[in-house]
Amino acid sequence: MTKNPTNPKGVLLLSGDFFTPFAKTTDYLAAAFERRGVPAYVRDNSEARMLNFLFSEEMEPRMPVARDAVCDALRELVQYAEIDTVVSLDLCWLVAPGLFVDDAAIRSIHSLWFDDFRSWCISPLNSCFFTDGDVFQQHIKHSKVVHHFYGDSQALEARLLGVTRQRLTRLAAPRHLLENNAPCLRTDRLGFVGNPGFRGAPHPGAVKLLEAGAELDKLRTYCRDAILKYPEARALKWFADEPTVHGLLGVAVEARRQFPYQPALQILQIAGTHYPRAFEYVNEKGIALDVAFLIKLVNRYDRPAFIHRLWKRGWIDVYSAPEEWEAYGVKALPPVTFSDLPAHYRMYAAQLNAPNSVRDATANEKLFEIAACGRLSINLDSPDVRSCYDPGEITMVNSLAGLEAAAEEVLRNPEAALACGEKARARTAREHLWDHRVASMLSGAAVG
Amino acid sequence: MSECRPVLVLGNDFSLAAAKTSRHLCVALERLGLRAVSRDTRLIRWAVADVERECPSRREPYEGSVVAKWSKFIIDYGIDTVISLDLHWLFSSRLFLDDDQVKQIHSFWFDDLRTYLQAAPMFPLAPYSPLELINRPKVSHHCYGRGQAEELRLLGVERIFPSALAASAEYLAAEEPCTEIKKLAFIGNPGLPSPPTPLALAAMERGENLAALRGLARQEILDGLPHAEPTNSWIRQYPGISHLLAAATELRLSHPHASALSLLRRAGQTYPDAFDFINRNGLILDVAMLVKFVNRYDRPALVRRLWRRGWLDVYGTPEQWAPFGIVAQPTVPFPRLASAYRRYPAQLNAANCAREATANEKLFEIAACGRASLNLDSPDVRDCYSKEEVILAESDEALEAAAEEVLRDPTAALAMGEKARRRTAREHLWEHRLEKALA
Repeated sequence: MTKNPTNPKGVLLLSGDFFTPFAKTTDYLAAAFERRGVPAYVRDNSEARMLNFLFSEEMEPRMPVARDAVCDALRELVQYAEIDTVVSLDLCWLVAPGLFVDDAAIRSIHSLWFDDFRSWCISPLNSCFFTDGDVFQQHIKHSKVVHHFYGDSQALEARLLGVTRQRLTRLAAPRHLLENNAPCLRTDRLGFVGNPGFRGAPHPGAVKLLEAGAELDKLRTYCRDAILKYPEARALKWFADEPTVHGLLGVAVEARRQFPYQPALQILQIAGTHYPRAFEYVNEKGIALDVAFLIKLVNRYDRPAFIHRLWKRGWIDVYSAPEEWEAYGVKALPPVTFSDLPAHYRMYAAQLNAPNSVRDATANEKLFEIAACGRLSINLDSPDVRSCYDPGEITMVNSLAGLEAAAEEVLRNPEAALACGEKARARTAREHLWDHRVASMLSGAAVG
Repeated sequence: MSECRPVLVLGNDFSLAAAKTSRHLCVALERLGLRAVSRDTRLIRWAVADVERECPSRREPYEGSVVAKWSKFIIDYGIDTVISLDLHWLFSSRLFLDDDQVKQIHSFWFDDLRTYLQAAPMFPLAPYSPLELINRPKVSHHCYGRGQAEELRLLGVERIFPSALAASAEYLAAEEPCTEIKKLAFIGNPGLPSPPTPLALAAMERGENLAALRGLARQEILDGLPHAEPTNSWIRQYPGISHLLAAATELRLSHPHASALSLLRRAGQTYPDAFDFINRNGLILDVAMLVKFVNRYDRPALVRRLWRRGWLDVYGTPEQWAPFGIVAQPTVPFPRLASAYRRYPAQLNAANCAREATANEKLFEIAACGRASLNLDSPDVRDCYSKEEVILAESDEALEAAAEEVLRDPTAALAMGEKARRRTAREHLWEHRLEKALA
């Protein structure tokens, strides 16, 4: 245990166990705080959310009592464990009035964003308790709250909402992965653990293109056109209200096709200079995040295409979400438990990694976890990924052909891939553990 | 247990001491090279009670949501071992007991069984009885006191293992100096939350010793039988209960640290019909609780004795100490416990009579902090430390004399504390308990 004078007295880490990947990260962060000598308490809000759902339906008059029960439980813990710092992977904890933001004992609140702003705001399950717009804004903009984003696009989206106290904090790996030395048993295949990303049936045309071996650019072009040709109901209404929105969207999705890793919101803002009336409409109606979401969908087949290409060659084992992969013609194996992940990563000489288009942030947690396990990951070449690892530690490609060539090289020479993985592990141990993020979080560096 | 699978540690924030211990268990698991995740049940318990009361038709769907959430959690994390500081987690078999992936459940008992059973269960037990649930082959029960273990055995609980409480290794690193050499300290509450009777208070005021106070407490118990419920209805149904209780509480006077249940059984040999009545009516634990109350003034009396001499700083809930004429300082938050222990050359330690287990967590924590504790001599405490490591007093008068000696020669007390610290490092950390439990 290392004691540090800048350490907080106690940390409360707030998780939402409905979404276990967040829960897992919360536990990793807690372990990192404890290694630093900071007592860490993890509490989950899924019960509070269930209560909210239940009470809003049939027991509405009991809602204030429920809120008090939730708040009392946490306040007592804050008092007796002398907690002065809150780390939340779940924004809804912050917007319960009087819970943390107004508690004088709490000196700082770190809100780590894993999802995009829009998804968070529109999810019916997300709010812990009902609050009106002002309360939400006041809480998330409070001076003791710092928002941590792992991608530029997320940060931009937050800024659009007026959240200025923000930092770029990359995701990371838990330290214990460094200690896993399970053997590499499959040198004839690569591995991928994950779902296709965007949930929803793929366009039949896109599946045909995948089958035909279309390149990423062709798939992105297909998506660009599909967004405009088959607009969803909401978009139809926008086009009817303000016809220039169609033009705005057309320019934006084309820009995204050309600059696939540029933040969707930035693209929208630039496109807005050509369509000021449409952009004004988007702003007035508060639909900027919805439009940005459509722009992100230009990349929706990036991940499925990555997997599909190697699957067709018989070079990859895919784990997780078999029913979602089926629509892409990929037969996936059952999900891997968190505790088995390190051994699974290490079972193969290399793993595929591809971002979820919805998140618009490419340096995902898997990037760091695969590296911590001492395995090579093959990624799309994006600025976020490149800022974390160098070629030689990971592989970065710009096309499916590039991916195929890289995978073939791994299969031909797994020893070289394993050596790269070791370098990635060393880099992770130096720079990309949750311990490093915690240290940075507590360093008090300027925000904004 | 698979080497890489995390252990799920379940607590309940209704008892914030359990929140502290849950964290200590997690830290110990990590030190053993295992991974741990900790979760709490306070809100589920509250919600279930409220939903059951206000909208019973929603209880089942709510339980369904809770179970679904936990099932996914267990699968995704790959958890196969559960450590529970709260029996209520086991009351819905659908949570962990029926889950084939969960191979071992270790239930660490901190409270007495009666208290558990009286609290509202998390979910209705049907179709199982509590015994069926907690006797599932994958559940092991770890008890820290002989009395607890006896109560469990009486109820038919199987797989009971003695497992003393322990200290967190982080206390071993505490370095704060001893700055209050002219005083001792006590950290805690009076035990039972109810205030003392005026008679008891007056007796304490007169400086009566423990033997006298136990006699007084016994008389209060017996006098109160016809005037309170449910004891009044027991007596109406079977008047012989008062004789049984008189005999059991009499035995408690001469054997203050023997388990209430063993005393009740001994008394039952003289009053077999009364014992049979309480047995058939499921009242044994309730009657045993009354026997335990013979010691109800032990802790407040010890604290008050040193307080009156001006030798003791008391930290706890001030409102609970006020009826005893003691001005307590506010409760010490968890992170400040170690420095609060170390600030004094010695700490008073006294058991909570309701728990009937004298080797409480404080015994180990004070020792881990390198400080001597002043205890009443009991077999449980003696099992863990020798008289070179902690002070074991035969009576309150002896304890007062020991306190005086500490204040006269604090250096000797500090040396004793160091010995206690070394023993704790060797034998009484949570790591030691977990290694044994998970072996």
